[in-house]
Amino acid sequence: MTRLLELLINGLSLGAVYALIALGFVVIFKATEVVNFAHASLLLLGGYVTAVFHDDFGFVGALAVGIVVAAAVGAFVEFFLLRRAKARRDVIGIATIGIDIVLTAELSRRLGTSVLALGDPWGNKVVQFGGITIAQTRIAALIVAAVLIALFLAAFKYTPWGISMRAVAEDSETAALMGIRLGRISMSAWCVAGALAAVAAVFIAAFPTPGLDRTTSLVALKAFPAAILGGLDSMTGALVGGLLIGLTEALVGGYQNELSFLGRGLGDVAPYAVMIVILLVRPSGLFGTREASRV
Amino acid sequence: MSKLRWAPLLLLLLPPFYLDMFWLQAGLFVMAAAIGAIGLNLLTGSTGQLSIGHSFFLAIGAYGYVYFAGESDGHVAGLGLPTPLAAVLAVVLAGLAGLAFSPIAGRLSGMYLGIASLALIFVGQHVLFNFEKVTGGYNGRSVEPMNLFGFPFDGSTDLVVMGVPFGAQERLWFFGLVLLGLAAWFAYGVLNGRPGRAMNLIRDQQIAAGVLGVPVARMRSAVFTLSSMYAGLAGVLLALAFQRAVPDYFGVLLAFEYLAMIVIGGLGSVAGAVVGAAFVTLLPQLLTRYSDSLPLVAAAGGEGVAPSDAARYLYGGAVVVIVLFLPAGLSGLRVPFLTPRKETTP
Amino acid sequence: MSAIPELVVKDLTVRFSGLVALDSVSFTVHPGTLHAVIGPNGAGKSTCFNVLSGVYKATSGSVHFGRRDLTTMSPHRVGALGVSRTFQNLALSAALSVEDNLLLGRYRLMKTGIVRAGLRWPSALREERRHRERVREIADFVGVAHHLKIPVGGLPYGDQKRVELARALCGEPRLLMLDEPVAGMNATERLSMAGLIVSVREALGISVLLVEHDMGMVMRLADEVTVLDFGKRIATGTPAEVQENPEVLRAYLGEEVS
Repeated sequence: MTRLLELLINGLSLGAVYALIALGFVVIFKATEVVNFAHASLLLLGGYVTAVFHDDFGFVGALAVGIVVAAAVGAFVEFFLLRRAKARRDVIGIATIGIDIVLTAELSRRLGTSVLALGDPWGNKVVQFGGITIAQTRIAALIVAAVLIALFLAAFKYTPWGISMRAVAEDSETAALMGIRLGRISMSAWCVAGALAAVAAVFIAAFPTPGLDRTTSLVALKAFPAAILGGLDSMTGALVGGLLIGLTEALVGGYQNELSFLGRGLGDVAPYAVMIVILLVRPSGLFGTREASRV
Repeated sequence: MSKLRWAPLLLLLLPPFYLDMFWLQAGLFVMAAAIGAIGLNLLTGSTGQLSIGHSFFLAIGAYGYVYFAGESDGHVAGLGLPTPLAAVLAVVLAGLAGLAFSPIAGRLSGMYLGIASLALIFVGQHVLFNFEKVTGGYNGRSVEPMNLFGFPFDGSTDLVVMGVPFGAQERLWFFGLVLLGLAAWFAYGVLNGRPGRAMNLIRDQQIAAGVLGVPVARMRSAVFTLSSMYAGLAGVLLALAFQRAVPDYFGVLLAFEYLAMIVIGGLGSVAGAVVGAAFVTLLPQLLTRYSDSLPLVAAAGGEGVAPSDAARYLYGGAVVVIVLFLPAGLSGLRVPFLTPRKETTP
Repeated sequence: MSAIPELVVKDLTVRFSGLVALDSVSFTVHPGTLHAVIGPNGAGKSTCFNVLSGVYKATSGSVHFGRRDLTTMSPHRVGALGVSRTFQNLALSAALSVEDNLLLGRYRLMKTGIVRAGLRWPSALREERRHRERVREIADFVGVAHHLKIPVGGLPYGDQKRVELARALCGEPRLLMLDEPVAGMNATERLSMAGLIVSVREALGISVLLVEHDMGMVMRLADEVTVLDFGKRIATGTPAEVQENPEVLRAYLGEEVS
């Protein structure tokens, strides 16, 4: 029972982090209709910068630099690729794969085989209550993710920026005619997504994970199934999808001894299996709008 | 006139007589990659369906062949079938795997399929590492050489053609050339015929395609299955060229590389897939080979950017540059000699 | 060609999450006639078209083509019954040549699948040749034959509209549905398109269902007119009858006059 509770809390925390990544991914898709395949490498970048600077600037300072750099690279991609390419949106999506290849190659080269600490204040400390043991990083992840998500959703709902963003997502042409600057909205989406990814990097690399290494971006890839099983164009979907993926991973990973007939390392595959099952039942995800067709 | 256009391709018969092992081996990898890229381009370029799961089907082709053709021993299992049969079965198996994915491949469009197909990679890797009896686990397993009607495609028998000793690479070169030729020929037939037009319309105007009588979902899964078979064939040839199949190879990066190939060469174009495959496959090999004389690139163990990384910067960057400035890819460049202008009546 | 059946639309209702786009609309397209559906913007004309061609699903009501019930059919099955349509906002494949686009209009009349096309099976080559001939005839008839080898995307708008019509004709339809065939055209182009529609009817004797904004054109061409307003049918009759219907004047013509 305690084990299950531990797994559930860990899963929720992990899921909240995936939700954070998926949220950025969905924001980009809503604002620009481009699927950003470079998202995982943006995360790796944010994490790497944080790891490099934490000795000099302290954790918070380094994280701030990481956030700024990831947001800036997101903006850079928006400015030099999205605005200039005349190709179809899905071809631009493939072009972000090119960016991912370059970014991942460069970061992997710098990382080599090393595992970097991000210098977060929680270290490997744990909290115990009612017989269950939870790492502090997991609780921090849950709180930080929840706060950021709440802030983001509030901004999306109430600020002029959020309203413009929703208008663009609904119908970008009309939004432009109403005086909304598409370029700004699109660039801000990329910035926000980069920043959220950088924050998520901290918790993906924090305890009990040994640290940031070249496989961190593979972990971050799980935000893709999270985003699509929720529905690529739905914020709620990204949240639910993230939690679902996190819980699945934690539970399957936790009980993998009982599931050993399915092979080792099942926790890493289970999220993808869940995605497939959900897409079989609902091709546009749990909360996604069915492809609206205008003829 | 149009027949003469293909004449330069006869030059491809010459390399085994003049080039050394390195180039022949590199050429084999290009041929294998080209077959896989042609298949992916049918799906992504012509039908607008993204797949990031392509390396899964390459793995099925490679391991299918190894399993069907290989012999059982203490560590791994194998059926010991005749190698040509094993190759055919491996391609069929890849096709069946693609078909099994058709509930997803038929119903999801474009980018959605791209993300969903990511699952194939991870499920695939999981299976490859755990299914040691078939795959040999982490270290992989060796590949039975092809033997076609008593003619072995390795160096086990002596063969000298026009004064050149024909070892494994020389023989496989022609085998690969024939496979690539057939794969390209078939793809041209599909693209220029009724199915190809329907595929293009699904990409450009999905609703109109339905109204005109194209069963969109069925067509998508059919093309997905076809492209899986191309990937399977590519996997077989890769295994034969590598002489060893290792699970690690068939990961996300490989799938990305194939997408890079078709974007660089030109989406929807058969020739483009071949050009892109050559670009992405040869780049790291050339950089390695000439690392001594290239600035910035490190020789083995030396300072600087490793050739494999340098290659990634270059083809990753090429993808972006081509989407920005050359929407038709490298094959869309008009080389006056190689690409005669199409006849158009004004 | 088999006899032309009549198209009977009965009590057709379409709701989109609360919004009623079509409210219990009924009309009949008699064999061989040209029936126009008109109405102000947002009257439900396009929705009606999309239901008839199977793109949207009706909430209630029925559509019959002869004895066949189209109400819940998928688009490609509707097409297979000999119902062809054009799209208001061109739905051609811009990168393909005019010829290939027209061949797509004949998709359902052809059989070659992936394997036979790939292997260039003799039957596939024969079929391709035969249909290319017919495509040329239709292109001649519509006046786009000299563009056959050119990618559609490179043609002027008016010609693309013609290609769109030609593609629908390539399906050898028994019912041709035209969604605003002259929208966005200048006066000369409109006139020649109208002439083309007349000659299609005369040459083929098929039924035509026309959605159009251009009142002059509708009144000249149509045998019968159905007027929609806010999703409801407010009148049906000959052009002359409809023109004198006070409700129509108020809803539609009145709007234009004022």
